Amino acid sequence: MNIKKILKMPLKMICSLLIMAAPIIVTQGCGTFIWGEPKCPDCLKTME
Amino acid sequence: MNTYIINKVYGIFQKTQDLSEVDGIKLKYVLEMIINDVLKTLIMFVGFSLIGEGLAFLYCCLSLMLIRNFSGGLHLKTFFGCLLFTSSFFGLSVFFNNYITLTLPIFVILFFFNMFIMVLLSPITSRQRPEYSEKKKFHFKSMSIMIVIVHFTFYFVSKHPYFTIAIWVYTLQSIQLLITLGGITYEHKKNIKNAA
Repeated sequence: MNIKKILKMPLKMICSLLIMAAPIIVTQGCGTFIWGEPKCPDCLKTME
Repeated sequence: MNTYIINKVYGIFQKTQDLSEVDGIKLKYVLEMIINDVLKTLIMFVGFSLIGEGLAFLYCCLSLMLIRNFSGGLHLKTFFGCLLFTSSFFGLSVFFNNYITLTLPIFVILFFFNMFIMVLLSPITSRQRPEYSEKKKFHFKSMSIMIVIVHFTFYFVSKHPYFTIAIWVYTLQSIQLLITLGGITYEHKKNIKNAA
């Protein structure tokens, strides 16, 4: 297996996990842990 | 600085991963949330550790994390405004914890005050979030109430410093919900006045 591919694997896993977390954050709570939060993107607003 | 870090991390993912447009938007949103929160928490942790209240800060953080997600509340527009407000919030919680003894009458008053506010006002969702259904709001409200009841009950049983601080954190969170409601009502009245 290409060494570059192996090195990219953990990044790919982290990236997938972060993308998966986005709808969970929006649907399972109504605010972040601490004050201030970024604007929820439109693609996530319809997920509720 | 936070924007720089977010863009840098996002750039790394963009370069190495084959992201669609929607995935890119989701990733940026999550990165903004995580990096902003982690940065603020780290800065505050260093500050509180310097004054010898590192552990108290961690207790505050943990108890707030549990309820904030369900009760919502005030949101400030800038990173530093937010950092300052949050530091004051935690500072006040630690101050009350250190200088006010939780006697039984105070405990009972705080319990009823917290319950009253959570039942009436929770959740106050952020404007940045989508409009939630009544069912979802009820779920958030129930969770907030449950968290308050569990913490007050455990304080009564164990008297662990975590529960003492949590009681002050929840009291300040309830006051903060009241302030947020006041702000929303004021803005609403102002908008009606401007429209007329």
